[in-house]
Amino acid sequence: MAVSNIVRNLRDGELTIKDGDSKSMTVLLDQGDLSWTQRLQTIEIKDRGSIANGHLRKGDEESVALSFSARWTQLISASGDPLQLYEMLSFRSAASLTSTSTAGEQQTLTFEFTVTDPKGAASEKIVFSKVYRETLTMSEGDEANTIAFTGKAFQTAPVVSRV
Amino acid sequence: MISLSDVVANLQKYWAEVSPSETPTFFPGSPLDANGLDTWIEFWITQSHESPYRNGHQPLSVLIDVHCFSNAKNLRAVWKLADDVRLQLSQKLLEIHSQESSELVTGYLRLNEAICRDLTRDSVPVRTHLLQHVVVSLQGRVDSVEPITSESP
Repeated sequence: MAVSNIVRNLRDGELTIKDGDSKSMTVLLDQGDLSWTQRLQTIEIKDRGSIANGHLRKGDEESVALSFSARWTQLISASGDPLQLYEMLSFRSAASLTSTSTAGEQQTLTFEFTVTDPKGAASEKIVFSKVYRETLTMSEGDEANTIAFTGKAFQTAPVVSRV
Repeated sequence: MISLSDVVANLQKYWAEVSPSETPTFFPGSPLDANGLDTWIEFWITQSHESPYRNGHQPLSVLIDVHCFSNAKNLRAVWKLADDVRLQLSQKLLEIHSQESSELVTGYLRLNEAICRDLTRDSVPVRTHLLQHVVVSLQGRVDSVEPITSESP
């Protein structure tokens, strides 16, 4: 495997959202602001307030928080139209999406974020599984209206692989 | 990719259709002889700017400057011209057609609101008054008609 020292930026990213069946959508109007945070819980055990004599224990596992925003065109599709971002993220019934989680559990999706190496040597795919929505915020703007998503992936870290 | 040549051609064509018939318009590169003219317009696409973008979809921002000139005795004539420009361009949505195939729409240009600036200078008066000069500027954004999302069934 090769590496390259070319810094990646928003121009190299591509976000694809998949349901649990075969529907997928590549988000082309996203702002290039995808962000995720991996948290690590640690329990500090101090000995009568002393760190020197204390120790650390592993805390609960934390899910991955992620967010992105996209420019808003239409929110929903009509018959025969391509699937729209809003209806996919909100699991609108007309979109007939299938959750990536077991029936009866919270509805989830898979997010695949591909970062292409401009040199072609070390492109990577970051996969977030069981992504559920926390907030979906639609905002008006001068340049563009936006759809902002925040949610969590029910895993401790995304799966990163070379493609 | 949106062709800048298509954008310029379509804008100039649109302006030729809607501009005030009594006032000649000069585009960059065309010879200008203002002798004997009371009013005239110079139509410039001053700047285009590509915003950072991801795969496939490449937005293009443009700045249009329409220079309105007046030698008329009526000192408000230049503002009447500026109003005509604002009326025809502000908040307009224009189709961008390919020059190779006029039926093929390659994108849309959406123009924002106009900004007017008075650039009349204290110079030697033409006839009995100064040459008046007002610039109407409009920012616009061109979006291609390429699919905005792709979906596999």
